[in-house]
Amino acid sequence: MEVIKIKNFRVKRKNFSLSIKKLNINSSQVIAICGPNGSGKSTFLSALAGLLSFSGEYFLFNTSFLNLDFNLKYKLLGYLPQETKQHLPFDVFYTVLTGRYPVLNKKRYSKKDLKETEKILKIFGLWELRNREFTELSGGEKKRVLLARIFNRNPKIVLLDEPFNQLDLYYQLQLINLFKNFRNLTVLAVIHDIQLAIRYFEKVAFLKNGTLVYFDSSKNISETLISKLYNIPVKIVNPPEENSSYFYIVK
Amino acid sequence: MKTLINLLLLFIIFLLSITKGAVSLNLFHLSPIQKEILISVRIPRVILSAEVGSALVIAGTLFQYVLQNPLADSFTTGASSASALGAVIAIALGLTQLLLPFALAFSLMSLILVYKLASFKGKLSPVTVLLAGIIISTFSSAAISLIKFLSQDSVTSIVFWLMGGFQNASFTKDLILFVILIIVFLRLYKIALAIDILSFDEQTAISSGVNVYFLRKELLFHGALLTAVCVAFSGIIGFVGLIIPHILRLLKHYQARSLFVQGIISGASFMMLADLLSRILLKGGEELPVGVLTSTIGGIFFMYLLVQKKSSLYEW
Repeated sequence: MEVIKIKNFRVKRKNFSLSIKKLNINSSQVIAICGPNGSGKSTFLSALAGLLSFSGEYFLFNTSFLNLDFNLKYKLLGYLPQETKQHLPFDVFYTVLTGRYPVLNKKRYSKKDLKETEKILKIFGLWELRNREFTELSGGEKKRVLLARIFNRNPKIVLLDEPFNQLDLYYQLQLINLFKNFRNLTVLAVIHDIQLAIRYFEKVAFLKNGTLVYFDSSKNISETLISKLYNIPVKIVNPPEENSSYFYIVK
Repeated sequence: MKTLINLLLLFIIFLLSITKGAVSLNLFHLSPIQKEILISVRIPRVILSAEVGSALVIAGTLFQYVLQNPLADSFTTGASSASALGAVIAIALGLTQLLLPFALAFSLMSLILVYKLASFKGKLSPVTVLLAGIIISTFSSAAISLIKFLSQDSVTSIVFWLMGGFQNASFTKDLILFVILIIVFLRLYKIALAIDILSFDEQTAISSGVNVYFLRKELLFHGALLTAVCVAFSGIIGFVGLIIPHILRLLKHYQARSLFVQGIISGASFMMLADLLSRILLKGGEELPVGVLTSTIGGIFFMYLLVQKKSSLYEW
């Protein structure tokens, strides 16, 4: 089933425009969005999250995005911007609890909300930090809190802008496993580490100058594609004991 | 439990406030004149001071959420001075019955101006918020002085607007502010969870399912309303809406709901105490304008916050 369908999708910003002719994303896919700096990755994600106006067609679960109820949108979608600020302080527990705001029925957090929050905090290794102030945390800890906050609403699609940034290796791997363990979860993540994309993501979307230049299985990425995209010579190797390939930069 | 202690404290301060002052009253032995003082002067005044304290704290908290700035309150955003300017213009034009609408219109205009000046590409710069507030404050104060200069005889009481005080209290004013305070409080209590999410940057707040632009407008309106009524009844009283929420946050009251509840109680206590001090500090029954008192305390506190900001609770 297609969870996201896009046709003639255009987003205009001051000195930049993004245009994607066609893109269909199936349920439960884990997709990396890659590309050079300024290629429109963040613009694309935040437009999908409904934060930028766009022209063209955008269907979410076969309903036009513009016709979706405001509350329903963010029940389905979890969006992590590149940088999140908390201007007035909260403790970690409450910060993560607020991630459930879109799925609330009444205007009060219930016992179930608290329980789910406890569960997700433990998954992200944050239970010990629950009473600390968010603003006091380190960069990596903040990132984990924000990820836990997004996943706490049990979204169907997550749009993550550089989620691995600032995470140590342990939590990077944990996040990848989480993508697979969440039922029916579709992931679109902007990442810079192509190795990570090839090894752990089913599909990769490459953007350059605001257009989609590649959207296919991560297995089919070639030397020439990477070399052309980033203007650097790369070579590919396939270690026999691994089922995925590695790139290295030719000196 | 804590709330109970705070309420008890509030009651004790209330009792102190109605008995102490230029004339000390013993509640159990009242002469007819003392009774008159208590009922028609002391009690309305103390109630007004309590309500203004609560209202200013609520308004300050709201401005902090909307402008994403812990240093925002009715005074630092310029809303108080703008309200005072509105009130003074109404008086100068001889439209005293329109004093409240004028004050409200001016405080709304000033807040919209601050919001527009400080927002750039959907982000609010904390420094620009304060600068815009200073501009509006200074401009309004200058305009008030000018009006005072031009119409010397008709507006001799204009100094009152600049310094603030509860001399003109009455039960009618008490009732008006009480009704507004209750209505605003009930509404805010209901939408408190959404208000909390305004603490986050715009992108995060919107994608958490909160209609940020609408909510900000609503909160600005509530804040402007509370500020305008306070200024119309008691002049400019600065910094209360800044000090109390900050202390509450230091005491780990982070959520809007608890900030509102505790803010109402402690704002009332603080203001009654400040007014009591202003009545008894000077010998011989003379009064210190309460605005002078709170601004002095607040100024020192504000300076402390600015010095502290690097290692503080807040992200900049």
